[in-house]
Amino acid sequence: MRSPARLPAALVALPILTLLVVPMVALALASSPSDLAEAVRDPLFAPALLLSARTTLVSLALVVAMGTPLAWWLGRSTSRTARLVEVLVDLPIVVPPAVVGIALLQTFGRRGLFGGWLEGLGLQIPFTTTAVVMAQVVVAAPFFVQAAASAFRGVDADLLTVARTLGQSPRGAFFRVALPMALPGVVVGAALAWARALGEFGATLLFAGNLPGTTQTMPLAIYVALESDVRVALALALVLALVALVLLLVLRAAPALWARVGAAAVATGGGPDRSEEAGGPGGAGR
Amino acid sequence: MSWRAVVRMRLGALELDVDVGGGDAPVALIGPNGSGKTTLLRTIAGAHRPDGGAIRLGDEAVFDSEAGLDVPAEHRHVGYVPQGYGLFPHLSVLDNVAFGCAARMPGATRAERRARAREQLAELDCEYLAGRAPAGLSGGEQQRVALARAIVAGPRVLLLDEPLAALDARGRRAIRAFLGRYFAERTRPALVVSHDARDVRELGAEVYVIEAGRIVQSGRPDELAGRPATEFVAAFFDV
Repeated sequence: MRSPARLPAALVALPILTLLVVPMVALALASSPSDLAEAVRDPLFAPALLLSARTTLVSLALVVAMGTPLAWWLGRSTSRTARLVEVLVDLPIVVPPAVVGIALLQTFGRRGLFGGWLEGLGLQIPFTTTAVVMAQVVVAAPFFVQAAASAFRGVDADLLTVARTLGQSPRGAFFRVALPMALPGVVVGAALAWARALGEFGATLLFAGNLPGTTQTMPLAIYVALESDVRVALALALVLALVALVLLLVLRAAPALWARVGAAAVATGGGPDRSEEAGGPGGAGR
Repeated sequence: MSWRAVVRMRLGALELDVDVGGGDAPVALIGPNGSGKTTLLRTIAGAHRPDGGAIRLGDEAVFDSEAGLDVPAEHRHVGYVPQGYGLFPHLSVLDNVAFGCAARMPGATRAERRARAREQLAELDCEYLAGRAPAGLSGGEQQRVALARAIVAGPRVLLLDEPLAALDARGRRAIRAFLGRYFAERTRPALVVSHDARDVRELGAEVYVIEAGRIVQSGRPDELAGRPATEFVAAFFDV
């Protein structure tokens, strides 16, 4: 089915496709197994890996915990305030990370907006692991909030009304109907947010610095390693690329996987157990 | 028992100002699109808060603007079946109906709720659907499941939004037969939105005609057909 018009289009697309794919292939081919084995033993490697794992999991938990109520409100409200807040939430997506870093410093730094107040409390935020987490939360949250809000928007209001008339409190209706229905979108949002947090570089460098074991996450360690031992930089990059690839595949496969799991759950007459357990507080709301 | 809803509210372009009520028998609500039928149902169910008025279900006031009373939806004990049926897509048919048991059977185990749900499904001749997902059902099947779920909760008033619309001939027959049996009982307060004169006649119900948010006429179908107050009523009863 090759139409004549398609060939030129493919030719035009070739350079950009090359640019997208070839560097990844080059990265995969760059290290020999022995190089990798050595790089993994480098003192830069393990602390950066652990710090990245720790901080991104904490930021993901914070983003989901704080972002879900916000996304719910954005998804359900038709008010003008909600539309305005939606635009504000998207700010970190368009603002360059370096700008986010400077802005965070101007807020929580010693001479920042809350600087004096924080100093009075004996708290220092910049150049600590807390700062790493904060930078990640700021840059990652919009991805989660956006995806979750649009998932919540897709939940038919009549279904929530029905749930309420069947004895569910607003909370019960959320946990037993809205959340299970929006879950695929919410999970995709969380995955995107986590990927963004894992890759965070600019804001972290400016606001948290580059201290091994404390604020030196994997992207920062790559930057440092590039000046000393390229093999370590490559190994770190490979790990990040691999995680990203797995994430991408899971996200791509998620909708189909979800449908199958859902169908299986319904077929066994089970349905998600979670919703049944949540029936306690909701069901007893009478 | 009797029920009455006096509702005054503005929602978008709609200005609702109605006074409807009924007793043990079902009451029909007819009117052109956008006249406020669905909004009124949702308001009685507790989804919208009126600007003014009072809603009483049996002995209990569930809304009273002057007394500042607004009983939340979960404590009103109304059964609401929206257009599109409102089945929860992530639950099986059985669990959809068991969901409706939660309010009436607090403290019941999951197995007990499911057993009750199965009985209710059997009453609507659709026990065979128990393990299915709502997405795979025909309109008529979905409507039966939705009715089972609303009824199993033991509502004081049943609110049905176009229960027979969007069904094929077979589905209509099944639902009509069930509603006929159901409403033949002595105490079945209900407000049923309809756009079909035949259904309204079969319901044998008092009819309210709503146009642009106002009740323009009410009475028995024959009275309305005999002296239609508006063009809509005349067209509805084909006179």
